[in-house]
Amino acid sequence: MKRRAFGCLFLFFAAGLFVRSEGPQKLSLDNGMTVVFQQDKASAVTVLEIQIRGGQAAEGAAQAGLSFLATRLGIDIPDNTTARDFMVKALHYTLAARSDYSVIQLECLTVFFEDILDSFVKILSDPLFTGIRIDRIREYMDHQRRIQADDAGNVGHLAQLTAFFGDAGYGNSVYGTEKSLKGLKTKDIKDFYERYFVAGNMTLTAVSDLDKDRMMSILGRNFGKFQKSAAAPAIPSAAMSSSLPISGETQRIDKDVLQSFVSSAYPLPPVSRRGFALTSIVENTLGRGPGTRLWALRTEAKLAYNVAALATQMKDGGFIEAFLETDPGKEKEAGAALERILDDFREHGVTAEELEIAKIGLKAQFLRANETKAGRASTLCTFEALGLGADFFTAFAREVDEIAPDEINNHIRVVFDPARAHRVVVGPKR
Amino acid sequence: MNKKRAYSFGSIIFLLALWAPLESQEAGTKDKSFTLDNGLRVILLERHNLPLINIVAAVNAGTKDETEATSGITHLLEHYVLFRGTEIRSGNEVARDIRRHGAYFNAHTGQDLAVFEISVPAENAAFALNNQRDILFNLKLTQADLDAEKEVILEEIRQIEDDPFRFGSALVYQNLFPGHPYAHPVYGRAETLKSLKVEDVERFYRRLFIPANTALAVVGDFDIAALETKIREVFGTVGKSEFAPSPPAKPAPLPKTIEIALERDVEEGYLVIGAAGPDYNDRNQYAADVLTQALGQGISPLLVQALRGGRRDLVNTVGMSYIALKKAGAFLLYATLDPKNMSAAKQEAISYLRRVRNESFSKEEFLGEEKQFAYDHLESARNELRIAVEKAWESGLGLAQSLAMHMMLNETSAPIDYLDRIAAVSPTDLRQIGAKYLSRNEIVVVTVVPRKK
Repeated sequence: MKRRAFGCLFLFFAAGLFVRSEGPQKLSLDNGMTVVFQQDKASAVTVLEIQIRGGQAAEGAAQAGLSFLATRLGIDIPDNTTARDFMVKALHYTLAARSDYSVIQLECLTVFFEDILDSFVKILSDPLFTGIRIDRIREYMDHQRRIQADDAGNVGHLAQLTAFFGDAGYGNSVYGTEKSLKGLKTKDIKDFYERYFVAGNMTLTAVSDLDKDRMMSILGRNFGKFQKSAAAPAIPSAAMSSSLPISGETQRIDKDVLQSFVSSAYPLPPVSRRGFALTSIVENTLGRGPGTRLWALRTEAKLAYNVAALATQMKDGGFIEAFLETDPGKEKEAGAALERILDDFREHGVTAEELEIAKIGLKAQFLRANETKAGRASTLCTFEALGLGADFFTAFAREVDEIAPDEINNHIRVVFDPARAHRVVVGPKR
Repeated sequence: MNKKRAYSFGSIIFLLALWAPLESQEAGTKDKSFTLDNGLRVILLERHNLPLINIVAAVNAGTKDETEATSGITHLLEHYVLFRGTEIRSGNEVARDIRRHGAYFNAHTGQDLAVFEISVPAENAAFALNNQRDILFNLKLTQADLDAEKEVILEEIRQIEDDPFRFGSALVYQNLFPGHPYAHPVYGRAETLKSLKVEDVERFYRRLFIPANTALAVVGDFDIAALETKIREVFGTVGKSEFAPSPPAKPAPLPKTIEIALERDVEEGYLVIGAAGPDYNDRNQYAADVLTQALGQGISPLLVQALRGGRRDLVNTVGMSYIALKKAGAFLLYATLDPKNMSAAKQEAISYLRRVRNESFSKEEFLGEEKQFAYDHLESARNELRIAVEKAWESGLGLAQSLAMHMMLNETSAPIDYLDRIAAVSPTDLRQIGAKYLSRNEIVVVTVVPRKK
C-alpha cells in the first residue's frame, strides 16, 4: 500500500493502471506503422486493435458507409478452412467504423494469438473485392441500419449529428443510407482500401501478457506486409458546416413509441487535450448518474427513468447532448424542464466544490473504464485516432486536475450558447 | 441508471467460472470467507491491480418472493434502496455522498436475487462499507418517496416495452414458468405497482433485507485482515433477525408451446425463442454452457450455419444465451431478420432446435475425409469458455458480483473446478441436453414485426 503514502490523488491515480506492469509504450514497425503496447499479466488474453485512420471523415460526397464497407470487406474470411480455424481457437473479432477511423478488435487466448494473426493479416492485407462479398456486406449494413432506426434514442442522436454536420462525413450513419450503399462501386471500395490501409495510416494497440519483444516480433512479421507510404494520406476536414441552420429550433421526428426521446444539443470545437478534459467534466457534472444536474428530472420531477448527458468528441468537432426519455404525454413538460436546467447551468456554471467532486468522479470512472484489457486498448486507440496521443492516457488526470472554476465556467458559457442549440424530439405523431 | 440496469443476470459462466480458480490466479491474490454472528456471509478477495475496491451485496429476494398482488415489489425496493434515503440521510444526501467519493453505484433485480454494488477508489473503502450498510439495513420508507419512485419505474417499463429484445426476453420469462413466481415480471405491472402501499413494502423489506439473508463480496485493493476488522465493525452491529428462507419449488414443466406475436413501429424483425434449461445446482449446467456456446456464440456457430448457411439466408444475426436460476434455467435464442422471413425463420429455428439431439459437435465424430472438413464446435465452445473465465478475472466488480451471487445460489459443498468439468463434457452430453431441453414441443416464441400500415 505504498502508493497511498503519496497523498496526491494524481500520482495515486496514474500509478493505478500500471501496478502489475509498465505503462503503455509507443513504438513503431520498420514500415512506419505505429504500435502502442502494454504488457498486462492479469489474464492469458491478448487484445489487439487495428486502427485505420479516415473513418467517416474520409468518405466523399454520397459515399456514406464506405469506411465500414471497406473495413468489413478487409476482414471477410475467404474460406471454410480459415473460418474453422478461427472458430476452434475462439477468436473474437469486432469491427467499428467511427467518425475519424475504423477499428478492428481481435481478442483471443494468448496461446493462439500468433497463429491467428498469421491468418488474419493475410486476409486483411490482401482482401478479395468481389461483387458477391460486397453485396452480402451491403445487405448486412442495411439490416444494421434498420436496427438503429428501431431505437428512438439512436434516431435522435443521428438527427443531432446530421443537424450539426450535414449529410456527409460525420453527419451520417456509419452504415450509410440505402441510396449511398447502392451507389458505392467496387472501384470506390478498392480505392478507399488502397489509400487508407497503408502502414503510415495505421496504428496497432496491443494489451497482452506477452512481453514487448515477443509482441513486436509477431506484429512486425505480420504487419510488415503493409506498404510503407511516403506520407500518411490527407484526410478531409469534417468540420461542421457554417451554413447549417442551427438556431435553437426543434426538429420533430414521428415514431410510434411508448417513450418520447427529448434531446438538446450544443456544438463542440475540434477536440484537444484540454477540450476533452473540460467536456468530460461538463458531461460528468451535468448528467452522469445520481447527484448530477439532470438527475433531478428523474428523482424530483419524475419525468424519466433514463436521463443523461453525452458528449460526442470527434477530431474536427462534436456536440454535447442532454436528453431524457419520457411518457409522450409529458413531452412538453420534459422539454421545458430540461431547458430550465440547461439555462441555469449556463448562467451559473459550477461551484468550486462541484468541480472538485466531478474531478474525483471522472478519475475513478476512467480507472474503471480501463480496467479490462479491451477497455484499455480501446481508450488508447481512440486517443491516438483523435490526435490526443496514447500518452494522454497517463496525462488525462493531470489535465483534469489543472482545470480551475473560471476556466470550466467560461467553457460552459461558450458551449451552451442557446443560439447554437439544436433540439430533437422523437415520439408519437401529435 | 442505464438501460441494462435490471436485466436478468447473465450466463452462468460469469458466476461459477470465477469461483474455482481463486487460488490459482495472479500472485498476491488472497481470499477469505467468514460469517458474522448476525448471519451475514462474507467473502474477501484481495488483489492489487488497481486502487479500487468493489463491494457487492446479494440479497436473497426476487420475484420468487412475490405474489400476483406484490409483483414488482423487489424491483421497487431496489430503486428505493438506491435513491430514496435512510433513517440518517435523505436520497439527495446519499446521491451527494456517492458523487463526493467517486463511486459507481448500481443494483439489479432478478428472479432469485437483488444485487447492490458500489465501486470506489480504495481510500474510500470505509465510506463504501458504511454506505451499503446504511442503504441496505437502515432504510426509511415513506409513501411519498415510494410514489415518486413508482413514477420512475413506470417510465422504465415503457422503455423496456419499446425495446424488442428486452421486451421479448421478459415475455419469455413470464410465460416459461406458468404459475410459478419466476413468471412475475421483474419490473412489475403498472397496475400492481400503483396499488403497492408503503406498509406492503416495509413488511417485505423487514422480512428479507436482513444480514442472515445477504451475502457480501469485496474485491480489490485492501489488506485482508484490516478489511475483515472493518467489516465486522460496520456490519456486525446490524441486529440479528431469525430467518428461515424457504426456497421456491421447482417450476412445473410448460404444458404447451406459447406463441406471442407483436407488432411495433420497427423496420427489422425480432425473434426470441425460450426453452427451459438446467438450474444453477444441476450438474447438467456445464453441458448447457457448452451447448449454448456451440449453438450460438463465436464465429460460425451451429445456429448461424442452420439459419444463414447455403441458400437459407433467413436471419441477419442469431445468438444463444443460457441463464441458470436457483430452481430453473432458460435457454434463449435471439435473431434479427428481414420481417418477410419471419415465418420461415421461426419454423426453421424451431425445427433445428429439435434436431440438436442428433447433431455432431466434434471433429472426432466424423470419419475419413469428412473429418478434414468438419467444424469442431465442441473444442470451439471449450475455448470460448476458457477465454470467458480469463476475461472475468480482469474486472473487479464483475468478480465481486459473481462471488456474492454464487454464495446465495450455490447449494453444493464440493469445490467446483469449472474448466475441468467443461473439458469433461462430451458430444453425447450435448445431444442429451439438447434432447431434454431443446427438442421439446413446449417452448415460448415471441416475434416482433413492423406494424401493418
